[in-house]
Amino acid sequence: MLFRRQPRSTVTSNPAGAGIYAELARWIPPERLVLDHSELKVYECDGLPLHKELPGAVALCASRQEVIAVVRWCNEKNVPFVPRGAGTGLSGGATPTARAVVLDLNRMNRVLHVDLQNRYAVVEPGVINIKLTHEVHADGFHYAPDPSSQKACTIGGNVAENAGGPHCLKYGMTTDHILGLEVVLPDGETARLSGPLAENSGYDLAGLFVGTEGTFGIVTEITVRLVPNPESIRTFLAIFPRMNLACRTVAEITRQGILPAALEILDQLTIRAVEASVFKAGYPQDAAAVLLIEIDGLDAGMDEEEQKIRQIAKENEAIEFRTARDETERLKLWKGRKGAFGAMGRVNTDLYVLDGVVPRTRLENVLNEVYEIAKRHGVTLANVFHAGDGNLHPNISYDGRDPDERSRVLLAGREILEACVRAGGSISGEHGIGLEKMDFMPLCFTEEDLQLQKDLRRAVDPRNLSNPAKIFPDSKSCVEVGKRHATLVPL
Amino acid sequence: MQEAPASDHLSALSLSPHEHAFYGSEARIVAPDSYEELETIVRDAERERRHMIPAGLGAHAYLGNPPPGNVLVVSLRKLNRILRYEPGDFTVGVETGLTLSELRATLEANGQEIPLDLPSAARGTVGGLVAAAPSGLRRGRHGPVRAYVIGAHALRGGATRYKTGGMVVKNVAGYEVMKFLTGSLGTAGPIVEVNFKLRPLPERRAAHVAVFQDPDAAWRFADNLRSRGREPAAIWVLNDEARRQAPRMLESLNGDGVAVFWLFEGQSGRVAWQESQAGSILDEQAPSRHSAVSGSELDLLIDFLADFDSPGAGPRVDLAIAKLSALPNQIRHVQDEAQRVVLEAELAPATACDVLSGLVTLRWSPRRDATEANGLDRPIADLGRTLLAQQGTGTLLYLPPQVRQSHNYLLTPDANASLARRLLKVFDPNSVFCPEKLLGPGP
Repeated sequence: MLFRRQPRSTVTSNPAGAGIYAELARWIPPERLVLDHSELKVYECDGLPLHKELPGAVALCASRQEVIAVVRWCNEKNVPFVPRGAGTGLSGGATPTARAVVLDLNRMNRVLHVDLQNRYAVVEPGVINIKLTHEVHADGFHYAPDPSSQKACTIGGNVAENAGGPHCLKYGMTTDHILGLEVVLPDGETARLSGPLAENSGYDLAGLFVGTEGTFGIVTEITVRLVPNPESIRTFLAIFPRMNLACRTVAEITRQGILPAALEILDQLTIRAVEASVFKAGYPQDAAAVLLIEIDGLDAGMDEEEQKIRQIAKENEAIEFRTARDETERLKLWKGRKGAFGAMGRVNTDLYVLDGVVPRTRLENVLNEVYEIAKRHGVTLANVFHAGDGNLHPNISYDGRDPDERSRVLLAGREILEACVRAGGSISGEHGIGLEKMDFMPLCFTEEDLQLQKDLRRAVDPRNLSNPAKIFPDSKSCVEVGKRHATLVPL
Repeated sequence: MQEAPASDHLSALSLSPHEHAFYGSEARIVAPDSYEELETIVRDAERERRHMIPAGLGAHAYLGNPPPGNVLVVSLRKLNRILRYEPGDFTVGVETGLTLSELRATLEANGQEIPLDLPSAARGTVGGLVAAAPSGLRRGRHGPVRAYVIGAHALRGGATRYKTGGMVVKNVAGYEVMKFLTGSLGTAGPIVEVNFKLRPLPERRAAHVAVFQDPDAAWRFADNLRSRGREPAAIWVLNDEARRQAPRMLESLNGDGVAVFWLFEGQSGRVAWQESQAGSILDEQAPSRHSAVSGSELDLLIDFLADFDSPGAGPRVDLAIAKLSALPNQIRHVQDEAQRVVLEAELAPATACDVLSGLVTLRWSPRRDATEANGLDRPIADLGRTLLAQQGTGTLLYLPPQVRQSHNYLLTPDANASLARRLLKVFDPNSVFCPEKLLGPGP
């Protein structure tokens, strides 16, 4: 995705005006129906400001009934619709298409039911990720998926994107924590897919639904797994003179059968940006890389596990191995990691964040290739990534006002994703495809692979109204991978 | 490609005993050597509107509603290579005809596993595992089959080969079609390759069995272990009848009463600490017997529990198996109700309960006559009613071949059958992959 520190206005218009959209006032009270041009601009993109489009209207839905009413109206009028949570998505999944009605679900933010005995909760889609953990933490539980945006992002959005986070190394992605869904299908009908039971009748439709980025309809209720809080947490910072040594430490930790809660690497450029920012964490600025390691679980056996990890880091020439002595130090170490994207704003005006993923054993080689690509295109690249599961986040800092630099950034980005796929990986580990990476889908999938997915989509949404023009490239862009980026983003 | 008559049991290409019993004497079997041959078979079947069922070694053929007659069993047993395995990546990509025992041996040699403790592990194939998606012994700790499938290559109608997912543990490119395929009983077409994510083998395992004369004490212990036992890998409760069905050499299960089996695994220090904690919880309930189980006895016990969902290698005319799913804190109630409906038919219910997952396996032996008092119709109807009342779900995992047709595989209706059928049409536009196997007859 492309971050912009100060997004500039883009020429947009709403040729439809309020027009037919005013009819939505039959179901949505006026104070929750956005039709005004200037207010609609708030919804013209999500966390990917690269693509912008003004919606026809925004319905601030407060209930399932309102969602159903809006979706049915859209069907009647043949108007596309786009669900939206907090708008923190990084791939343009919530960016509206022209004329679309955006269904903002932030007001559907109740935790409906908590069952600690059976370890699940039922929430509305607008519940903010961290708030669910806050709700159950004192009772000894938490909601495990923890994307970096967890203080703002909604669980509905997490379901749409199958969000990840640092701790999914041990605890799994969002899909591993979704037990059931209530959805409003694209035709306005509702369906309950699975639930809190281990076994459900028939096909795993909830599993299929997660990660469909709003193209299968709108989630109105989510049953999630609650995970017991670990008895003990230890956080370490291993400091390395070379990036490859940090990567080898990660490989050796997993090879020895140790499953940490998180294994995160920051390279030197990222370290320096973090240390110069409000996210300053005390990382050594002369280090080539730091590895943030967190282990959790029962207190018994923690010393032994720490000793093993310490030894592995030492054998891989770690300059220093720090242990967070208390919760304050632990949170400080994490503050640097979680604030890394924000800190990169110091380097230049714009930031392009990639999300490629590679097999663990290819991490070192692909990283070398990534740096070579950056050098070849003369772009400034930093890496901060989920090393434990091979999920790279190469960040390219650039000045978007310079068309030549912008073009080089996009070319480098494409080559990096190509390198990830060549190494046996994928173009997205956790951010989703959305608008941003749809042209890269042919790198991973053949026409037959994509056709199956399009056919599934058509089976659920034959009128192509639910978040259309996402995920799948059109036939032209299948041929010209990545051209959309180079041509559709004038400043 | 070879085709063999159904009666040719001695041939390497014969139908399995289950296939023969459940698919009928008109069934035929083919075993393609290559993907191209498989594509030809699918294409021909579609053209001829002939029903076909993807299979491995036929170990799970008793699952699901019976297919129409004259079905073609397409065994993928010859597509059995390990295609991609780099232990350091903790992933493996295999053809689905590979036997589970071979996959397990390969992974164990590298200190890795798919932590599922599969029923019929020695007989089944990877394809059967994914298509049947059985519950493993340690499901409560490690999750279901679907949690380990990260990618697949499969065929759909038109003999079109496609890929879904990939070979990395974290991947959100495209729809997770493998979720739909997992547990589909082959009704979405043949799956030819599957990629799994792997786990390291635990450093240490510690298993125990306690037998209680008082069932209440057994359940109190199991409940306390679930809530206070920190990180158990498995807790199972076996009623007296189930305990009696265990092999005699399982000495830990000797004695009278209800047995509780529990397992800890992982790093040695943590396992030892948890064992000690569980010991204290156990002391509160005074079992009549308690023994630690290890070595070959543990292997035998795990096999016994993992196979509790299965009739074994061949069909039986005197066995019914139902799998019931409830919330973990309602599992005893559902088990009691399941026992009651079988006892009311004057038969002996054997139950094995996965306490962490809320799953109850119920086995009983119906009478062989075809009267109303055969001990099938009434218990099955009552089970369905009980599950609906408890908001539970269930499947009839096994029924004798002669009565399989009379009872739907799903004990509780699939509320989303209509949506599922729409999706299934994408994979099987000509309905040759026996869609009724999972959903029952169409509307």
